[in-house]
Amino acid sequence: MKRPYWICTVYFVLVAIGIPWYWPAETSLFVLGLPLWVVIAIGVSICASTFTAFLLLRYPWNTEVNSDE
Amino acid sequence: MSNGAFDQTAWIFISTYLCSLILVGFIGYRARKENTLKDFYLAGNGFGLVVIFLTLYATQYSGNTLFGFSGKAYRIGFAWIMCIHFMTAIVACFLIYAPRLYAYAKKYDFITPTDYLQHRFNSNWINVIATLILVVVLSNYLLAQLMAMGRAMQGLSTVDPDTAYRQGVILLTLIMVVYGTLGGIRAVAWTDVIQGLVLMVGFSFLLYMLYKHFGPISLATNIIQQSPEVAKVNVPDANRLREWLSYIIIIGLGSTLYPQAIQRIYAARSEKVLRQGLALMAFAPLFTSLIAVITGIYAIAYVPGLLGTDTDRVLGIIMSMIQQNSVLGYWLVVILYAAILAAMMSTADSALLSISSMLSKDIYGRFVDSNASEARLTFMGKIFSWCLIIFLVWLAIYLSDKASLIKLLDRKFDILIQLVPAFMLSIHWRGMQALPTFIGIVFGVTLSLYLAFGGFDFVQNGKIYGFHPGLIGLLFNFAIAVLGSLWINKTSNKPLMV
Repeated sequence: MKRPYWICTVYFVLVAIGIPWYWPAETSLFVLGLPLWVVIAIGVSICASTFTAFLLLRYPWNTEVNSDE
Repeated sequence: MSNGAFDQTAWIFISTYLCSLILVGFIGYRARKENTLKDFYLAGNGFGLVVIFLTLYATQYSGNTLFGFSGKAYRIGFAWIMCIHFMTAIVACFLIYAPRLYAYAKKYDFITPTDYLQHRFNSNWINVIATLILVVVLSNYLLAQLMAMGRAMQGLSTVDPDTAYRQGVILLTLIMVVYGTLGGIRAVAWTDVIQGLVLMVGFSFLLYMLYKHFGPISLATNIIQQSPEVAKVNVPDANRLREWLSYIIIIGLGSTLYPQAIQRIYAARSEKVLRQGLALMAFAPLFTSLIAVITGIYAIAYVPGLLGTDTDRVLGIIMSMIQQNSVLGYWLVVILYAAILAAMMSTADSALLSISSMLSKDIYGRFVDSNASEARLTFMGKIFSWCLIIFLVWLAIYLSDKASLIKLLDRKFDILIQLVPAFMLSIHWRGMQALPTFIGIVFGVTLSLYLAFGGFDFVQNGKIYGFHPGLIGLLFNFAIAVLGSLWINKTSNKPLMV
């Protein structure tokens, strides 16, 4: 079975965007009463949930059982 | 918190709800097909989608989520939004090993998590240390739920807080053990269905009530910005950002190794049911953890000045404020309290059932009486449940004001995560060997605890530059397991299969 490196890459990118390391310490940008960095973190979480659900429902699982173990 | 106490009608509602759990336990008892471990701990052929999803949901979202998460958001502000990331990471990490573990479990009839390890390594040493780690971690988890039950009762009762705490711990635990002992996993999973639904409805109401009582969250954010707590709105500092990453890794990986989570993988009726149940779970943080964080943010604005373990009470305080506002608010709070009790009891009953299965099958059945019948092992599991719960109730009362819930949460993951190579790596790498795996676990646990409790200057708030000590232990554990296995495979001239 092909090793799913692309899946790891997607999660890595989501984590890199979701954690607000690239924001200045004090930010005055707000959306719907929430700091923008919080809104982005929530947006990333929605993307991660959707991607995970996609993998669970559509991606073939490796369910091979080694009978000689 | 006497002004938040319920009247007689509300108590009748709560009591009816609690009694219904015992009734479900009795129905579960009547529904059993045979007196075997598989029937008692995995419900024979397993559960369908609705039960699997709601039992996963009710088990994962606990007293920690409600009280601990809202309390932590109160302490550190918006930075605790990290909790929706690590709760999502749990479902993502299931992808690493759940599919193959499910296939193994169905083929070889696994009951406990360590059944897989026994099958894979055939090593008593690994079995014993894994069981020990899982039982200790789960007892810690169970203890946190019992303490949360006591705190929930403090917010409901008119008696003094200490008495309310003790009564809450004892009464709710008793109900939980009775239905768990009667119906096993059927009672636990079926009550999880009720509890999961109540929890979801309660959380939706909470969001509505917060908005109705306090106004939009923008108002709360403005108040915080103009208060001394303004830092809780700002982007977290570098240390907190590292902690964010650390939480994603340690809780993402660690939570998938909870025995009750593994046993729910075993208990799914089919692969399709498991996939769909986990897919639904991927969205659960958005309608559970996020609401707990929002509650904590409202509390910073409207309930300032709480310190220490009092911060874990913010949810109860907020609810008391809403309760006094209107008849509708009062009844919504009653439902929400039922949801809170549901969250704690559903997590605690699953943990207790898993512990009893491991003590009975992996310790008693393997080392004390290897000829014991299935009925005998099931009976012994029930005895272990009662003995353990009596001890933990005493401990919960003794520790009532001595530890914050989140501190308890932190330490157990440092230990639990040391089982990652044994489960997640070994299921994909056939060359992994028992001895280095065992040494890796021992070294990882020892190093993690030494770093956490060794009194080092570089360890602050139980973390090393924001990272959990368990992750440092896991690095060495992983290295020992991999390098040791490679070396053994090379020297024994056995083909290395990956």
